Amino acid sequence: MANFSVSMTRTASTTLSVGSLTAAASAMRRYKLSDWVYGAAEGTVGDGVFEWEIQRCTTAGTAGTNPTPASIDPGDTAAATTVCGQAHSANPTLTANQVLYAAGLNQRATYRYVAQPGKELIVPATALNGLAFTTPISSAVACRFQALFEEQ
Amino acid sequence: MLSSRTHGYAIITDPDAPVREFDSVMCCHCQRITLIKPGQSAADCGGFCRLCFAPTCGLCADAGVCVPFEAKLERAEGRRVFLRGVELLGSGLGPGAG
Repeated sequence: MANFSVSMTRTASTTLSVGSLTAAASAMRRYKLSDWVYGAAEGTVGDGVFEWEIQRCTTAGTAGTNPTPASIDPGDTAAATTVCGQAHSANPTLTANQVLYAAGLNQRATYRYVAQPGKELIVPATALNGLAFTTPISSAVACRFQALFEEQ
Repeated sequence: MLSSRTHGYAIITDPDAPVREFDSVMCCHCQRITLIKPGQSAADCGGFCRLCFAPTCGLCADAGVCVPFEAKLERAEGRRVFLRGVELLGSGLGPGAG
C-alpha cells in the first residue's frame, strides 16, 4: 500500500477543475485521499474569495497535463496507477450531490486538511472513477492543490 | 490538535488573521466531510445513523435510509469482481475484448 504525493496547479476557473485523481482505465486500484493542502499560488497577493470543492467524478475529462505522483517512500518503486490530471480543458464528469468537501478561503490563505486513519476519502477501484478538485467561486489567479493519497 | 473522536482536522493559515483550526466528522454513508464548531456535537452536523452507529451528513440524514459506504464501494466494484471471479477479466472474452 504505497503512499504518493502530487501537486496540481492552474489559473483558477469557475467552470474547469484545478485537477483530478482518477483510477486507471485498467488494472485500477482503490485509493484513499488522506491529506490535502490548497490555496492560491499567485506571486502577487490579492483578496479574492475562493470556494474549493472536492467532488466525485466518473470520468477523467481532458487534462492539460498529467503530473506524475511521487512516491513518499523511496522504497516503493512501483509507480502509481492512479492518474492525475491538472488544468482541464474539459471537466471530469462530476457526480451530482457528491460534493464531499466544500470550504471557502481567502486568496491570501492556505488550507490544510488531515484525515484520521480510517476516515480518508475512498475512491473505488472502478475505471476512471475518482475525485475532482474544483473552484466554483474563484478569481482568475494561479492556484494549487496538493494531494497525498494511499493506493490499496 | 487532532482529537481521537473526530474524523479529521483542518487548519487555515492566513497572513492577515490568526490561525484557525477545525475538527471534522465524516458521513458514514457518503463520506461527506463536515467541519464542526466548538461546542457542537457530531449530531449537530447532520444526523446519526443508529445502524452504523456513526454520524451522517444532513443529506443522508434526510434520505432516511442506511446504505453504508462500504456497501456502495462493493456495488461500484462488484462488476469487476464478478468478471474476475468467473475468469472473464483478462481472458480476452470480457469487456474490451476484440
